[in-house]
Amino acid sequence: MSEQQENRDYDHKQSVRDCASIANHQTEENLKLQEGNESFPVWLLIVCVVILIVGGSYVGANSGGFEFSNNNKSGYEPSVPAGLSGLAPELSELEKYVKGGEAVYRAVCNGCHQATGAGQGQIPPLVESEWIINGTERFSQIVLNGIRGPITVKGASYGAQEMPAQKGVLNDKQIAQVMTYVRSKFGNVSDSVVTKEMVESARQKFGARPNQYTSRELSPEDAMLPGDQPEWLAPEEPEPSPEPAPEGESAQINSGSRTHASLNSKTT
Amino acid sequence: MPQDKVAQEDIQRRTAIDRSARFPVLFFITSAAAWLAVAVILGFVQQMKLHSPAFLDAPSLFFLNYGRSNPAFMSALVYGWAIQAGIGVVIWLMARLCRAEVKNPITLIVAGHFWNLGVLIGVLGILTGHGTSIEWLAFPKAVWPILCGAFSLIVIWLITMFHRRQDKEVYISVWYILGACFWFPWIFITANLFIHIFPGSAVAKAATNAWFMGSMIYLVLVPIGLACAYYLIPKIIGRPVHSAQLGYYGFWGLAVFGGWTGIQKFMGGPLPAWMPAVSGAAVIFILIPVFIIVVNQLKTVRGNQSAVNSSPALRFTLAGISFFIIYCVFSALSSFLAIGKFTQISLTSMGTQILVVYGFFSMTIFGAIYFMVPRLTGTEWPNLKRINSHFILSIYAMGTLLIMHYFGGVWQSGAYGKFDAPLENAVSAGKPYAIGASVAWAFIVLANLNFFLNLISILLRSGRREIVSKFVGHQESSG
Repeated sequence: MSEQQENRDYDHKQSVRDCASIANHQTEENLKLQEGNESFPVWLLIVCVVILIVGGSYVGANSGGFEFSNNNKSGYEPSVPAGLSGLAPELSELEKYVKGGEAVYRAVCNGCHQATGAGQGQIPPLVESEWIINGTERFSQIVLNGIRGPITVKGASYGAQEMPAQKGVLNDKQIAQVMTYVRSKFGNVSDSVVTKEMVESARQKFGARPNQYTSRELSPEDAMLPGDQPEWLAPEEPEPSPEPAPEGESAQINSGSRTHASLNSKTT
Repeated sequence: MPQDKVAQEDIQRRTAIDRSARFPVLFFITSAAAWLAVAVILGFVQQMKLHSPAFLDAPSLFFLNYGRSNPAFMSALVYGWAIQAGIGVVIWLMARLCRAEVKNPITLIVAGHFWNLGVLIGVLGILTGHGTSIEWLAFPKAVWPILCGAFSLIVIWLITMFHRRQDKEVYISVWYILGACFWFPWIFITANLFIHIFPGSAVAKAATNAWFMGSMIYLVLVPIGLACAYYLIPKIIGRPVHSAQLGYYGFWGLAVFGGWTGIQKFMGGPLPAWMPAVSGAAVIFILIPVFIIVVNQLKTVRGNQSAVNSSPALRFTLAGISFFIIYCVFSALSSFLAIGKFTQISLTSMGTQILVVYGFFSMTIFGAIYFMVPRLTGTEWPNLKRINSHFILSIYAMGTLLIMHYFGGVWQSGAYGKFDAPLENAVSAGKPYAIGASVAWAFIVLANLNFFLNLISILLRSGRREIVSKFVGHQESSG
């Protein structure tokens, strides 16, 4: 049978066998596989030795003494890359209170006073309102017990709407946070914190009141809440003058106004 | 002439062996090719999904999202195609090298059916969301005993065949085949036991999985691929393997170091430092047998450029060997932390897996299939152009994938390393390279389309008519 006949069924010009025509045309395949007797080349031996040395030193350098408790190579000193502290950024006392207060404000105050603090209709605005910037005491009274009746804010009068008491809704810390937030966000008071302790004492004094305040019943404009002011608030006055617990109304006003004065001197 | 007579007997013997091996081997090869089709399509889909999740996004195609198509693709590629095609080629090599006809083909067919059943359940399980999400072991937990049982039938058959061998000399390919057929059950059972049945800590499971992947590559895929190469190269060139001594050292070097590899993937991780260190060193040491093997094979080829150019089988095999050495050198370099930190957890890791499974293993197996199937069916390959375009497209695709995955991985890892930048930067840093890799996947799909068409037509032709060929020993040629 000729090659021609054999390839008659293939529709291409070249058969695979023509391509792989190397070895043994007659049988197509070489007979039996054998292995030669060439010796191991010297250059390959040298390459192998080099690889052995590299690999061996790799184990030595990285194994950390083959101890189960050790997951670093020996001599490794854990260090923090430049610019990465590994900690969350430090927040100042004010920032912490403001951050917490924002959440409280969104949950409780947003509905009436708006996210911008602009108020709406008969609800007075908070932005630069004298009722939040000045005395913290009367501010705390309003938040704790709510307020009703006519009130003048920034020259405009309001009063058709009542503000409900928040003392049952919010705890001392939340009130402190939201007061600090409102004072800082809407009143631009950036150097004063209403602390949890201050609200605690305010609740003791005013929290028993059964109904809302009217604007005339509130504490005077410059009455500040007593309490632990953060140290950084009064760096110029190193003597914290820890006044004894039994204190009169006047003493409170006094200490409050002193702090207030110092704050004002700092801001100006 | 006595010499002619010997040759004639040899041809007849070979023909008888090929005939007896025909049914089981073609069964494994065709079902493996079907799984390869599934794998390359899923591979293209998962690569597209990586950068454009909107691709093929319909409520009815929920199973194609990246989290499912990626493990389904890898599992279909490794278990459906690679190991199954490996088994098919190994059966034929074993029969040829033992010079004994295939007996009890029913054992092989039963094992093959169960293997395919296992892979089918596994891939469908992954696509319907029951995968384990463990790399290379992503099949649902119930599947591995099926695969294990099926493979042990094959192991039993291979050992029986080895006992029936007619040839006293044991050729180097048989060493690799027997090695792989013992190593695979050991690796596979150990990994599944310690990941699925007796899970330790999460860290221990991760280490076991990394070891499994390393060992699967160096102790299963590499030996089977090398068995083919050691068979085909001397067979086609027509001269003995360069050196028996080199073959010996190459085999035992691989056997000694292969089982230590894999865990270098977790260097710098929360493992005892010696575990990745030992694995990293093993990957470096394994260059010794790899260089020995490659030198041995290239020296066998040397001076036969025309043979390489003309024989598709040889060309595929040599391309596989080239990707093999690229893979091994790259793995060794990556086990140094200075380089490894760029390759550990980026696009590179997937690229490395594709490099070894497609670039090395599949190319070698393609070579063996191109050599083997005409002899089994008694028909020539119907279309030589398709073989060439299969080869060239595969090479282009692998080259592109290599570049995309390696450079993309380095770029991406650099972005991961910038702790003060958002993570999104790292994701978008890899995106252009992922798009480039999709193009390469389109090449792979095209390349294998050629392969499938060729395979289908050679199988159908052979079913239609017997063709007298030199592959089937025919007496008249003794002129």
